[in-house]
Amino acid sequence: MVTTDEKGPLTAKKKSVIIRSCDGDEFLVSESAAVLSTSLKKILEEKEDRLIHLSDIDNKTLAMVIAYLSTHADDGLSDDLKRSFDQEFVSGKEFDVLKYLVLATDTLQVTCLCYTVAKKMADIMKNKLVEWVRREFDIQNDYTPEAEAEIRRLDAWAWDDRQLEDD
Amino acid sequence: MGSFENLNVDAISNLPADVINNNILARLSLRDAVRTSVLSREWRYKWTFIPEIVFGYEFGRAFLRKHIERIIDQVLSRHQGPINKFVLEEDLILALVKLALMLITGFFYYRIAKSRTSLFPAIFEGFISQCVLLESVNLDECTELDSLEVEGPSLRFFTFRGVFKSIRFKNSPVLAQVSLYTPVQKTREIQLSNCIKYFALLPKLEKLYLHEGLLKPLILRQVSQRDFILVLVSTKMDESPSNTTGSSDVLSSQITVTQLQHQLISVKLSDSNYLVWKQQVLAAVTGLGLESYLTGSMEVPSKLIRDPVTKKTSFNPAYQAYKRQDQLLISWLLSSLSESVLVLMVGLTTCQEMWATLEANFAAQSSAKTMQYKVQLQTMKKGNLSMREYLNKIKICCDNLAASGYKIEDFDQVLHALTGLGNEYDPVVVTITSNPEKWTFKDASALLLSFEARVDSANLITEDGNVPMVNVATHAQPRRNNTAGNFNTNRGRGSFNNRGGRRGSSRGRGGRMFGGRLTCQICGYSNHTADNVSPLTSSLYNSKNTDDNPCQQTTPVPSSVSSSSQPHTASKDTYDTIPLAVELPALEEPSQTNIMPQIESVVPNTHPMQTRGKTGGVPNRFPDSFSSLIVVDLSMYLDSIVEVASFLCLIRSSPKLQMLRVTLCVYRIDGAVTELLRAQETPDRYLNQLRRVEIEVYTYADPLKEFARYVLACAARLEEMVIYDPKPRFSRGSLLNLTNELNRLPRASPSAVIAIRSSIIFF
Repeated sequence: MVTTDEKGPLTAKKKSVIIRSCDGDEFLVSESAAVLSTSLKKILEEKEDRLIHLSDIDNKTLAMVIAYLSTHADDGLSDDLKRSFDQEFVSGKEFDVLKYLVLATDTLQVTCLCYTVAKKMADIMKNKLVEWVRREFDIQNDYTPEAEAEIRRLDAWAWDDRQLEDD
Repeated sequence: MGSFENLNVDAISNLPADVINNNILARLSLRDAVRTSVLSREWRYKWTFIPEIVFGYEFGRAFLRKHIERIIDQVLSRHQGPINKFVLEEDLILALVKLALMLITGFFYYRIAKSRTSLFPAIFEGFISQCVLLESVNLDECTELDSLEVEGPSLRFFTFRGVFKSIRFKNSPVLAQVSLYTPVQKTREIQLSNCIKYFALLPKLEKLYLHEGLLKPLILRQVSQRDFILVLVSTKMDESPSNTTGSSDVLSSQITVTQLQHQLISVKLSDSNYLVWKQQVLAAVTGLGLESYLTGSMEVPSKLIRDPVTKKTSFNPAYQAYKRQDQLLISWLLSSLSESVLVLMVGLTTCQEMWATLEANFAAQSSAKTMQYKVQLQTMKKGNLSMREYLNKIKICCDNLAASGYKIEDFDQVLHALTGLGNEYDPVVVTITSNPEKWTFKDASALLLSFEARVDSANLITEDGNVPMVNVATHAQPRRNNTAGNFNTNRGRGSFNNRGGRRGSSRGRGGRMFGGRLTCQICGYSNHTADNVSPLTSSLYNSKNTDDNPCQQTTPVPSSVSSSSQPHTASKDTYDTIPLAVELPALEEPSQTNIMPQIESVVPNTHPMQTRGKTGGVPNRFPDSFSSLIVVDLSMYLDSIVEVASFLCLIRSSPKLQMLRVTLCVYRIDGAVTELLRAQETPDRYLNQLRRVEIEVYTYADPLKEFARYVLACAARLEEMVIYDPKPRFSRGSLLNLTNELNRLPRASPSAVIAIRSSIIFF
């Protein structure tokens, strides 16, 4: 976490940007990394000062996103390395963490990260019983038993539970 | 945790709809996605907006095959959002039938007639043409099809693997890539010649792949096992209502588009009418208060907005509204462009970009065009045009000038018309110029036309004793829609003229001569006659584009027309007595020519007579050339002259061809084929643009050499010729020999490199 008072003077080469999270911490990001996010790019094109305040992304999430952006902005790394970094990046993360990540990437419009994270979230839900998903994500079942049975009957083909997991 | 705290109701339900639909649910298998409908009421319909529906390979395995059609029907009937992609990864022709019916009518059917498979072609045909946004069709392992008709206004890619007896393309103005793969056992039934004639109807064709299965067993197997039957892109047009936000803005923009649709634009933007078009568009758009979208003076709202008080960032509904309006305007603008202009718009995403591009292209073009038209108007001569044609040309020129902002006064038009006339019209010129004020262009046209008639009949009468048999070509018919049968015209008209001439009563088509000027029977140009056309020129005439070559006039010829055969070699002094009908015996017609203008095979003059007729009715070239075809990849049997002739026909019709990949598969070469190939060996415009040739050899050296010889001799800009020997057939020694021999062949392009690759590495 880099905190700095240096605000790049306008005359200097536009090298880095400061991004402030909703917790108030500031991150120094190279501009080449920041512009990978379509939203940040747009802001940078409009705004004169180099400080961007992101009011709905917290420290932890922002740090992860910035790590991702910096890695992908690094021209020295091969595509293969970047791909394995992506794998590493999402593996072992809690669903909650992923959820904030996907929201942040959606806000910042970082398409490739959004895709990777959503894929990971989908993988978690894959081949799971409905009951497992409800339990895991705290989803309140507000159907009456009859209504639920009716829906299950409608798409009966999808309810062959034999290969599904419940753990 | 920031502003996400409210999400903690549960971990996932409150994610924004597009995140759930487009990202998470879209990554789940279809079955998992459908099952989310039971999670809670909130989730009931979320899956119905997923953008891609994939009935995967495992789908067919996991469920009983007999249910699958019903399941597909169910899923599609529930689905509400737009579908960007639809994939069936199973051998499910039957399901496809229903799917087709459903998409057409908006309903689904549980039962169709018993012989469902025979329904397929007819349904498929209607089906594709109904999907106006469909861009890509991929049909795999289709064994049931006798004839296939492909039609689609937006269709860009078409791939077919399987067996068919005939395939037809129509109304596919933007089809750019066609791939056809047929399994080997049916190979000889589906000859190149049977397919390629239909490609002539595809103006935008860029890449063409034609292959027979066994030649590429590996590739084919890889593809067909994992591939799918049908991929539909954007088949549904209806938008999901629940995906929109900022309802009031959306509402207003929808009103605007309705209004826009009522703003008719009477002209479509083409190369010549930019100013007129711009005026209409600006009026309509300004009237709706949307001009800022075009000029870019409107500030584009950012996707995120920051609340100045709380310093919080959030989505900007104004952006969404802006985007929608912009896109609506784009679609409206696009609909007012002609096809040639649409190409300029590819890849542009905002109205402003489009407007600027159009401005940049046409502002410069307009001034250049204006000059061109002015020059054209001033230098236009009647020559041997008919009066009607000549006047039309003047009129078109003036109209174009008016469209670019330079109105030519009516009398000036008359003057321009008079300037280009020959001496024989002096009486008219005097009449008109003696009283200039009272003549409008219309009046002057009438006078000129009637005077022309007088001159014609006078000529006939004076020469009546010596009937003019010469087919002075007067090209009064429109020149479009010509077919390749260059000589047919002459045959047809020739006989007409002869009859007319003998009776001495017809003044129309034939015997009109001004000032003793002779006109070529082939090309209509006046400074030479057919007997002194050089062989090269006359063969070039056969290859010229219809636009610039008056020789290529063909009217459909009734087969009953007499076929007295007269070679094109009559000498000048026989002109007055021998009818110069240049005729070829009618070659047998391919049986299914009903969709094409009549094509008959024509062998250029320079060819020996005996090669005629052997080409089996394959035309010399297509009536319309493939003006954008740049890649051709096909396999060819060199022992069949029909195949080779088809190939040549394809090549001749593809002036822009840059890359040619040929799989040669035959062990010996037919003498007639050699002859035909050798006859082509002049560096001409056929292969003018060709840069790269790849030849895959399933054959021995002789056929290969013949083919390479042909390409090397013709392709003037060839950069590289790669010969690939996958099997391999050649030993190292014979490879070296072959290389030497190929290098010794005469070539039109001095810088061409010949490389031979073999899958065996020699040491």
